[in-house]
Amino acid sequence: MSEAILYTVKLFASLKEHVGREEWVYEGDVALTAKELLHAFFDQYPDLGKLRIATRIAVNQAFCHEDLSVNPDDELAFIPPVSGG
Amino acid sequence: MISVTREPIDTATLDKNAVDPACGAVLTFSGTVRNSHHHHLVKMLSYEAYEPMAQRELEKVVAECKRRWPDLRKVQVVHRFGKMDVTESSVYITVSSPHRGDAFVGLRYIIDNIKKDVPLWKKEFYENGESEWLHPEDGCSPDHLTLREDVNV
Repeated sequence: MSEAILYTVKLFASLKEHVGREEWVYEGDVALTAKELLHAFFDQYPDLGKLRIATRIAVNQAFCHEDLSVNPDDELAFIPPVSGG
Repeated sequence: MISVTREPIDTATLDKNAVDPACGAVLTFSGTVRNSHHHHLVKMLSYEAYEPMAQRELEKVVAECKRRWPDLRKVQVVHRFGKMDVTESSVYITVSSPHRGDAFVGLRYIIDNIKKDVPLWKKEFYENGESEWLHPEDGCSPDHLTLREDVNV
């Protein structure tokens, strides 16, 4: 039996405010792609609505391809649409 | 100077450093906290930053700008985060070029791409006591998970 895989993802702005924590932790049995991790998060928080289709994931402080397999040791962050400037 | 900082922006120093004897065009842009948004009266703003990634993305935007317009001799960008009052500068950009054409398009490129890809978020606090995070969907790249230029880096 394989060990559980834990992903810890940084949250910002309304994602952080909605969840009430600075990080979201996902525990599963198999490694996920970036897209699967995003889907797992928004499945858990359906009230976030439109942000589901507009949020990107950053791996080690860079935007990544959605099919990238994510490593639990990576620095992960969900990036909702930005509003700097 | 390319930086993401919590401190008020030292615009006088940036202005001074933007001057270059070879440059006949020195453009400065100050993104300034405005007192209204969609009929709401804005009292103050608070910006949140994913600081190390914001720094990296800002550097990428400037590097790409210089690649596209190689005649630009100096580019400076400082983006502030934390709380700011109306009229304070949240982002300050200078672009110095021998001629004005490249400076105008380069500056426009930088501010437009900051609004797409640099992980900073604005929360507006209104006079009526309400507040709201801004997540403009049109500010997000259409292919939201994949940026072609990132894949190729």
